[in-house]
Amino acid sequence: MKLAGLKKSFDGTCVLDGINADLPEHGLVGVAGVSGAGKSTLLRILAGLEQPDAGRVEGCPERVSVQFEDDRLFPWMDVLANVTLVGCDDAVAVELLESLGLAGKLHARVEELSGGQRRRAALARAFAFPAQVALLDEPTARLDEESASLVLDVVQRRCYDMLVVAATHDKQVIDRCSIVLQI
Amino acid sequence: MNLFGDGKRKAAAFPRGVGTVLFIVLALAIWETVALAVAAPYIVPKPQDVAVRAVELMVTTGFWQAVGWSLLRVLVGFACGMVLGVACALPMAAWPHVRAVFAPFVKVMRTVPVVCFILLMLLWVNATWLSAIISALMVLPVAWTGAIEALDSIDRGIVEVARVFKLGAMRRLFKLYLPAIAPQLLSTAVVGLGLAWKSGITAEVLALPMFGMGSGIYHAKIALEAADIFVWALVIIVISLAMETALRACASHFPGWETSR
Repeated sequence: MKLAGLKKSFDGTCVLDGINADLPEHGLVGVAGVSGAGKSTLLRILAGLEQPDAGRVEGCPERVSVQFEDDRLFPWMDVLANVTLVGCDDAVAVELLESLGLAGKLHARVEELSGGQRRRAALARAFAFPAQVALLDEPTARLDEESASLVLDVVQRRCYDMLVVAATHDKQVIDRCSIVLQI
Repeated sequence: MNLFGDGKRKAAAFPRGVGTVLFIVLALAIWETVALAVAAPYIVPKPQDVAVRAVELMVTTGFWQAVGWSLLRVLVGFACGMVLGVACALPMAAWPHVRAVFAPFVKVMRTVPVVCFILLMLLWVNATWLSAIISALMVLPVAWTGAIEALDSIDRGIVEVARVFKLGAMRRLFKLYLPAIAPQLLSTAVVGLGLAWKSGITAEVLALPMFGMGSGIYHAKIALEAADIFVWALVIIVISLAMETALRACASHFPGWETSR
């Protein structure tokens, strides 16, 4: 995937100013930068949820998965139903949730989960969707160090067969990235 | 600014249910006073006379047949109106062109007096199901308005999730959009149910089906049996309030709970 001169402004404020990068087919790519630097906007452009004002994304696969910064889990479904919503089998969803330490929360209400548990459930949903690229917006936000390490182990295992792009402030994430885009 | 302070605190001044009991006592006292002042039972019967008449009616088969048929018609009309209203709202919310063409129809329906629909329908349909059709026609624009406002206000985040994960139309509708608007739809349903009762019974009064509370009201009026009219009115109020309470109870439990078990 190639990012060529991506630019984006909101209400006259330039958020992205000419982002260029070549991204590999698989591996963990970090997008780092201060708050407001445009990390989430870049992910939204890669997901096709935002159109750049200038520039283009070349070779973007059709199926791109997203872990949204605000989780976007649905309170009218339990945790497992939130994950299988994307069309995967129950077994796949259960395995993912178990690998993320949520084995005991499969049938819990979303409102019963802590912030960190919601974060992991949202990550499970992102990985349950069969995609070539996963875009993770602050994957370790609201996680304690132990949970963050668990999450990053799962992320790294997925990186062998897909590209994972993570917008993050977390040094622990940056340290595990093969490429870091500083914006 | 509320001149009388915090409304919630005022409402909590009475224990639960006491306000209702006081209202009933006050209403009965006013009713009794008016009945004594008028002193004409064929115009305003006393509450105790209405109670006696209610017991007399309740032991007859005809009373329960009338209640059952009216209930069935109103519920069928209400359900059809809600389903049709939501079904009309879905394409209108999705496609602005469809909305531009069909929205005026629904607005016109909302403004036409119910009696016009009833008299027109009397020419076209059988009296047995006329009140169900009228209830549906009255509920439809309310359901449509409620559904389209709810669909318009669906969080952009939900739409983005559906888009990113490439959810099909049915999955979007039944897993995301309908559950998301369900609380608002239930509030609309409470309003629609009241309308269904009012319009359905009015239609029965004019169409005179074989069994129906509206027919009972009409026959009581012809026979100058004011007590019977009061009984029917009270039965309608009790059933309508019971159904509204049940709907509100459903609404209070949302967001709903779907398990994958």
